Amino acid sequence: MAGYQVGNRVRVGAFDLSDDDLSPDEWMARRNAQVAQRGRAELAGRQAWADSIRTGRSVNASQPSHVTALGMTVPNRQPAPTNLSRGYNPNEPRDEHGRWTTGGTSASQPPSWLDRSPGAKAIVGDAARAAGLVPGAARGAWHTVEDIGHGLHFFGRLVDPYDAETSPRGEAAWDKVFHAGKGVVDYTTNAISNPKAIANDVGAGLRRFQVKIDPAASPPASTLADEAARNFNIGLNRGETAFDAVSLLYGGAEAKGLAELGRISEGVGAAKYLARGYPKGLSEYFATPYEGGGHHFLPQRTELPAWLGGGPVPPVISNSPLFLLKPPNMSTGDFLERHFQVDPHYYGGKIPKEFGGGRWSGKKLGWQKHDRLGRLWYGSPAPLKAVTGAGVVGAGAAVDQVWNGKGPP
Amino acid sequence: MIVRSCATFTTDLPDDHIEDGAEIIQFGGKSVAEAISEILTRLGCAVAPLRYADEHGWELDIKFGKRSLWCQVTFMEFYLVFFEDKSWINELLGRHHHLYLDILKRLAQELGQDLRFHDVLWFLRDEVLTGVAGSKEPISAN
Repeated sequence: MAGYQVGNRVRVGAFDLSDDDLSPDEWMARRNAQVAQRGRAELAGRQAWADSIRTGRSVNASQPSHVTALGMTVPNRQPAPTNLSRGYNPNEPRDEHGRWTTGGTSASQPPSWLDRSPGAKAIVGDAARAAGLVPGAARGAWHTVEDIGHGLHFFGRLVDPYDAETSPRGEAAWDKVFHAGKGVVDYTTNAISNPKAIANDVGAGLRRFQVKIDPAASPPASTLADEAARNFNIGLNRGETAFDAVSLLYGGAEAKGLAELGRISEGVGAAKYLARGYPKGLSEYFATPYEGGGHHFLPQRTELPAWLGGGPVPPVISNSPLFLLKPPNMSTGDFLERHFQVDPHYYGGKIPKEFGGGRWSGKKLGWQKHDRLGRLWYGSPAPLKAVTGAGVVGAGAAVDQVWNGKGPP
Repeated sequence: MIVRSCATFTTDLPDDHIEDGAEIIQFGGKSVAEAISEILTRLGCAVAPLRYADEHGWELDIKFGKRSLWCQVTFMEFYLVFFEDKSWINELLGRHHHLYLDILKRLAQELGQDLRFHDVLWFLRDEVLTGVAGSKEPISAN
């Protein structure tokens, strides 16, 4: 049964009675109903707002009162289950005076002045968003590691000849590849016949992203605590977005895409280098497997501090997998390009006579050297990244586990 | 003050670059590194034995007074030599110790006067192999 309030009159279904006509108990019951209905309208409004994220439809919910008003406009609002504190149901249990014993949150937990203060919410919201940035970036690092793990696991299943036998019907890795491909084909076919669908999907995607990082894109919470939680989540999302943006610039995206695996497979053959316009002899030299000494992240000239005895860093350390970048199965060209990019003292070299002789220069081939941050990222071996990143990633995992799913958006 | 720590030159010293078919067994530059080691020792430096550094070529660890310096010789038909102060703090701050400047200037003079070396030109690290004309002096006012 739908109901809403007009002035001091309550309309519940077909009934529209003045307060003056009611006994005190009836008046109390009506007031409880009003409060409960407001909670139900807020619930419906929030659902409408959540639906708008999915559909991309624009709704105005910049104030808590807008959410309630939005809920009032929703046709055929369904009564909430009686076990929901914010819901309203005329069949809910009543006390001996006919009052509902459950109902809106407001009835059971009256909002404090802080909950009603937009200024307090703004201040707490700002602080919570700022507090979420760093843990959000850590969560981004953790998600990157998770993605790599999932990618490696899936890649392992793809190359496992027994995966189809050991997986449930339709769940084998290659089944998923074909299903994904079919989904793309179906979507493309649908998009050709209904181009507006693409615009709708893009719009909905952008709105979902906006809601994740823009506090103005989702309605403020009704209490101070919920508003803090909402803004902390936005801070987390912003931190993670920043991490992804930085890793896109400095190689995190490469890691996410498991591009190293692709690099190994594409490293064979001179065609890749010929396609770049390199001379034939150089292309053939670059296509040979790299068997050199690798790149020392800790240069061999590095000296130990005096309190460690001074002198050069022992080769057992500088040549260890932690400090020596020498990926297996890499072509000479791919490795030398990486070496050129990350080593400020490496510029080129000789081409063996077998491949025509002469010299090559990274700058003349159009290669670019990385800045300091790029050198740190690309020049550090994976084990070193794993060790140093473990702390950050561990913190991100903790944030992910502790906070995951708590609070909007 | 501009300090150019990188030099290019050709030499009459023997080519010690060793290949076996498609494979480079030893990158060249050893004879040049040995010659530079001798020059630096004559100039008062304590030079550690040469160190092979694969595609980088050959390296020298040098002490001049209390300064720790480093030299790298790479062969790429001509020779590319870095002569730098090891202090990463100085590099970060873009400043140069007077002992480093002193020995750099004297090394440049020796290389310029040594008849085994030809067309010695000095560059900033960012100028290497960019087509920028090198300087005959490693240090200049502007």
